[in-house]
Amino acid sequence: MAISSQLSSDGQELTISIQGRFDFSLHQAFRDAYERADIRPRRYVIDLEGTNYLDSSALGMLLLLRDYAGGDDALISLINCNPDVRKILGISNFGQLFQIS
Amino acid sequence: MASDRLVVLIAEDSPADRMLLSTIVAREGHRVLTAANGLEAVALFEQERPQLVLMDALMPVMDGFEAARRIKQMAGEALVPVIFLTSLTESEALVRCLEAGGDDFLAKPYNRVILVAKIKAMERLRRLQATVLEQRDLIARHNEHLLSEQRVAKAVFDKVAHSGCLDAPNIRYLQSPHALFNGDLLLAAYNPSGDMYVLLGDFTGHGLPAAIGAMPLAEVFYGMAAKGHSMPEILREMNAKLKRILPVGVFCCATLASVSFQRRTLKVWNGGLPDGYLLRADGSREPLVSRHLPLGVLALEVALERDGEAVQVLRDPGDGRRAHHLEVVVGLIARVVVGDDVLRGQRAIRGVEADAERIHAGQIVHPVRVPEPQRLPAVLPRPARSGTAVEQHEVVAGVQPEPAEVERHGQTGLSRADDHDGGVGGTVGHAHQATCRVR
Repeated sequence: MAISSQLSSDGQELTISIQGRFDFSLHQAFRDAYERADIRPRRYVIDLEGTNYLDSSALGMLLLLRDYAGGDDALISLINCNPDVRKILGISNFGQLFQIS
Repeated sequence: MASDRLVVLIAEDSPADRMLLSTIVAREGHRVLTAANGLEAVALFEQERPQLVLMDALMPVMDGFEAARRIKQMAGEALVPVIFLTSLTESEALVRCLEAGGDDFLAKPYNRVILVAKIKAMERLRRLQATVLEQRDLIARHNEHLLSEQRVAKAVFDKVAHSGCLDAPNIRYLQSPHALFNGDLLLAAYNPSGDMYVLLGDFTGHGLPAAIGAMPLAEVFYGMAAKGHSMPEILREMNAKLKRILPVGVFCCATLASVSFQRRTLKVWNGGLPDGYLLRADGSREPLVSRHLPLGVLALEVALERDGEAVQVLRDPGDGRRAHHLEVVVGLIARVVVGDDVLRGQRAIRGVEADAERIHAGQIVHPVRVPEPQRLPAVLPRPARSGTAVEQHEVVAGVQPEPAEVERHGQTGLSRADDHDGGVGGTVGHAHQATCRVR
């Protein structure tokens, strides 16, 4: 499974892990990972440890999540970015929108 | 079910077997055609176009192998299953049946149950093939329809997107022919004071959805450039427009450059595209880093509000003999060459081509003409205000009435994005070249 998600035990934080290529083919799966009626996390963590590729559609998907999670009030961190992924996020200046580490 | 009723051709030289087979097949509700040899079978097939053929292998006049070959040829892409009826048992003979185009075979003496089952199995295959062909044709028709729609849309799109000065002699670009529409965009326009704006954009995604945002972007760009708005004003408006109309998740990475031939300044704003470069005549590269979010992401482009850092201003130190390049490597490639020496400039452009060809094959190259040198009034330099220079060059004051042997250096730094910002050296007698490439 390219995408897996896990809710913290207190229900406050949803971690979504992405394996392999993060591109348009994951559009629906990524959406399904956070658009769930049964959970209301306050924070989102996108774990990109296993992500080796990211395209502009993926950036768009991150923006959709941000919008879903409250726009400017959203708390979303992108963690375990490899240098390539970090570079793409850097060029797009997504550090202004997401906490990147 | 009526649709299960087939027209079945039975080719069999033995009248007794023919009768037996006809009875079995007719009892299943199918219409039966009979032929006593291969030639009759072929003629009947041509007339009646049966959906399935039971073919005796060995017959007088024309055997079943030849008849099967001809029938398969007439059937073309449609699947007309041919079941060979044979008393042959050697594997070689059975292989011949299949090689002649047979889909299956049935050994004599005939077993009613097996014959009926095979007819049903073949009918499933026949339907599958018919469905595939039908859907293929449907897709082809839809695709043709879509393409013709896109051609019309593309004509409109080109009218809007290419209404500027992309065909100016000092602009050169390459566009990938991969798709009629794509998310890549190159716009160029002069403002009333003769400055050239060049915008390179790359929308999220591909194809028509990506291209659709380019229309309003182009309209804002051309409209505001023509009215003489400053870069920050244009950027702010383009951003606001895209934010307003694009769905969340669709945005436009872009680099906007303003080339002032008079003041010899290059102003660059990069939001989300990979580094561009200013290539100095001495070969040094000055990176033009993306410092901003792409257009259409945030309603308020915070970075644009920070006046001094919004637009990177690079002063061209042109010595009257050398070509300098502004190179923006995007998912697109663009280069702006600002220089004076025609030959050097053209050599530089050939260099650009080589680069681009390495990166991308199959481009369209527009020939470049270099405009005649213009005489421009000398302008006294003003000291740069910026204290946040990324890289300091020797600042040269003074006016050169002619391109001189003396090498002049400009100053590079971040400065106010105000379009009325003073340039450094007065410049006289220059021809300029701008090369923009898009892939």
